[in-house]
Amino acid sequence: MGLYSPPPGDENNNKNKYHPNNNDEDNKDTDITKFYYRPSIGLRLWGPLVPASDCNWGLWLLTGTQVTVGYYFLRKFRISMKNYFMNKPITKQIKDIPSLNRFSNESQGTIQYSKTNHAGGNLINSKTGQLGMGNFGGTQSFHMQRQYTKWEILMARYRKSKAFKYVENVKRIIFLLLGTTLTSLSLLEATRLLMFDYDPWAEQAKISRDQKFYNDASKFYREGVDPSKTRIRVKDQGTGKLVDVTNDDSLKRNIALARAGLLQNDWIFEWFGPLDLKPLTYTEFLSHIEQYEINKAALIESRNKEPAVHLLRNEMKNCKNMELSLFDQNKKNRDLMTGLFESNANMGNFNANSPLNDVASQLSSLSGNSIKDINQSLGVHVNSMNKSNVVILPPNARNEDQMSIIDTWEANEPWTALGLSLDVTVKVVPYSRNELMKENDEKE
Amino acid sequence: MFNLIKYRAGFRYQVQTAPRFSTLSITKACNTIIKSQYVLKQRNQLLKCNTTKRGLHQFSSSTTNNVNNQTPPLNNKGNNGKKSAVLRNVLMIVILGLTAVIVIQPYNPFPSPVAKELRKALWAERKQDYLKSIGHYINALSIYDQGEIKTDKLSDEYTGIELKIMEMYLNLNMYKEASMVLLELSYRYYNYLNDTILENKKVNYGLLSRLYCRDLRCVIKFVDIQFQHQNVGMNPDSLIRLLQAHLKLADSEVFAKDMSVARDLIEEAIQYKQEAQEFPVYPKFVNMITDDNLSTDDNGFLNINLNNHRTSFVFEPFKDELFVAKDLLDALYYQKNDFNKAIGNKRMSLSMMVAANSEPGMLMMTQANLGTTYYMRLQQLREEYKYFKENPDKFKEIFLTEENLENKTKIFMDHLEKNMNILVENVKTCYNGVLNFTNDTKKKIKYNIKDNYIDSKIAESIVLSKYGLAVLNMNMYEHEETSLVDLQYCKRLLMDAKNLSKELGNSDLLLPIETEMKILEELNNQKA
Repeated sequence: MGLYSPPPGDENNNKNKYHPNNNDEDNKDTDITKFYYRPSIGLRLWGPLVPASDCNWGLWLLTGTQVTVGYYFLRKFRISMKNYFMNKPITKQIKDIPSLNRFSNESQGTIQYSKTNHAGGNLINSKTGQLGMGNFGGTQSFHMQRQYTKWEILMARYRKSKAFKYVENVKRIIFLLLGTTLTSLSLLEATRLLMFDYDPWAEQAKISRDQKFYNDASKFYREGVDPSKTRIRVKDQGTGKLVDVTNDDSLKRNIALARAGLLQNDWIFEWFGPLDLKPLTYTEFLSHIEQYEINKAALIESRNKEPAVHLLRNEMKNCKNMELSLFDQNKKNRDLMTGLFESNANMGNFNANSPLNDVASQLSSLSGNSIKDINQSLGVHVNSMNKSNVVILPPNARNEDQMSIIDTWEANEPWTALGLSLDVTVKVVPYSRNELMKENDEKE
Repeated sequence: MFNLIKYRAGFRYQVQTAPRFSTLSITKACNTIIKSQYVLKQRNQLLKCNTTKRGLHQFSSSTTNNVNNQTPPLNNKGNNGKKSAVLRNVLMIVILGLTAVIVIQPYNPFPSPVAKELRKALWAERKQDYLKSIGHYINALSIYDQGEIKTDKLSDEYTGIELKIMEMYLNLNMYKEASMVLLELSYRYYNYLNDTILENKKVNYGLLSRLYCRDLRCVIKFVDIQFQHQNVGMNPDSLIRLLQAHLKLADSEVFAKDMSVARDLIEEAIQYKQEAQEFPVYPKFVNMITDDNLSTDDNGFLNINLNNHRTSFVFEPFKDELFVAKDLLDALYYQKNDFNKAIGNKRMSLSMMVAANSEPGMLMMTQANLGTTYYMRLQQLREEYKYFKENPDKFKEIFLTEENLENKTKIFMDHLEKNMNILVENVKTCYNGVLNFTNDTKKKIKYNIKDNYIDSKIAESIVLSKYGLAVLNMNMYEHEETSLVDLQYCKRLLMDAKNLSKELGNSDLLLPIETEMKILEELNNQKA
């Protein structure tokens, strides 16, 4: 007898020989990115339907739905409890009923009654009415009673059986449990949304959207535009010929950015965020919040210790004085500008520099530089002298009254404009000799 | 007998109303016994009401519904039910409608007089009449300043108008005034943020992080204006102090969220201090452009792996501002020739960028810049070395004593040499890190360099690294006799860099490349 044991690693090689595509298939399996459930505290029962943590409207919508469903179950429970007590005969001591214990407070004996509907006026169409359960008296006893079908009789028998009672009780318990869990969980989620203003989950979701945008944009840029489907031509101003710019770099870039932007506005994306994101676990989430609070407290404590706090307060006093003086200076500048503006409004044109007060001379000296230099130095702020980059909405507005101020302001939001203008690339260039560097610095 | 008749009368009545109130009929019978007989008929009606009321008290309200389906009260009840249902529906519709109106209607943050001024101002700005525009913006701001309309000076509306005024100043070439506005804004934010720490105010997290972001933006713009127009105020020293103070504040906020980056940096600093004796030696730089820090997609192109650095969100929402501010601080350090601080700052921002899961281009660019910084420091040390070699008597002034002078001199020079060697190594690590990573055939960067137009910094950093490596080699050839530098290799690198930057259409580096080529020619001629 002989035993053949293949050398380690040989097995895989053999497999690959017989199944050359095996490797590829494996790859494909791993390619399907696992979808991680979006995290939440109170909405876990929804499983994969939970929205991304920064999709606020989605979270509130789901929380609202959950409250409604929970309330529905609680209501069902309450109604079933009512039915339960209705069918039970109520036993009371005679002495407890005031109208009966008139003559003595120590009357013996009990009195029984049940809350079933005898004259089932309201319930005449209900099943109990139809089946003659408790239909004592009332007008319906004068009518002909129809024959019950077999099914109805069967059901009636079932209703009277113990199994029915058992099932009803189980149902009640389920209603109660479902109702309480759903409502309490959604209340929990609501408190989370309202209470924690620092929410690591939401922050993570937010930043992953930006990262996804970068990935999408570069992917679409590489795809480019298919020239067989779309051709974009521009008339060349010099020669007057049509020039194909379909795969022009900047055009491709703009198209890629627009496509990535469209993906961001997709409602599925809006709800779930990037699908391959793996959110923080619950413990990580809690530890991040805890860390932030503790570190913040430690920071405040360290700043408020005795020796340091004096220095800091002095510094802050200086800073506040600085702020005040700057405010005054800016105010003065503004007043000067309004003065100039008003005098200028009388004179008509600013460039005809006739009112030679201080500011005007200052201004004219400053604007003495050639326009080209200013354009170069300002870069973003003035694209060209013919066109300012202010967007007017709606675009066909003829005068200022037709303008929609909210939209226009939002389109020209100064903070956004400032943020966009700060995209600076710093490139440090080495030189083999020091003298060269100095020369170049001077040139710049 | 008497009793029985009364009872029957009562009974008959009760049968009419509700048989299940048999108990109540007894009550009524008792009542009737006490009351005189001839008022019975009149009181019957009254009694009925009484009994119903009692019924209400004794039993649950549901029982009263079932008194009799033919009696008017029940019908009334039904009508009431319908009415309340209708009312409820109407109420629901009204609430939903109001919510919809609130949601759909755009929120106008400006009161009408301000909005009027803004309208005029925006229109004038569109027409390029910047002077008119700034006048209207100033009017809008003065409406707020008059105090009739209450406003928060930190709110986006108020500061937004101030920023617009700043932009108009810039358009009118009044750089000093514009930078004043920015400085005031940054001081306002800085004071408020420091107050929250000192006075332990409870501020909403969203508001706080937005303020940090605004603060950094103001400072960056301010420094930017100072850079572009040298003669408008602050000297580099105070600019450095300003940037440092604001960056410290922002860093503390980042580190409060996640200590791991700070912990690593502190550990490294401590280790460095422990090792350092009299003369500190530069720590060895470990290449950061690795597969751990950067990721590629299935096709081998660079992308950002969403799950790579999972605490990257701690830098939001002022991630970009933070790194731009750090870059500007570096630029100021270069101006002051303070390369040690620049190196420290660059290393810190590089490790922070890795933790922040930044774009690959930014990371690569920062590492290439760090290489250049190391190289600049190397040049500085070379000059020092040369100086001390030429004037050995200067050592007396440094050490102040003459005892053991030779020994100390030797230690000093040795230390300089050691540092220079480490710096050369570090420069090589920085540049080679970028080049090796991108040369990897699996990553498809090498042959698709133009495909990274979205993140143009990837290609630019490759060009810079190639150029920098050539420059370093030339420097070594000139200063180190023992070095085995192949000038042909330098030439190849320079040619590569030239072709690449031509292909990219980026002319920043073309001029320096040309000058270095000329120097290379000279060196070649000398050799020959």
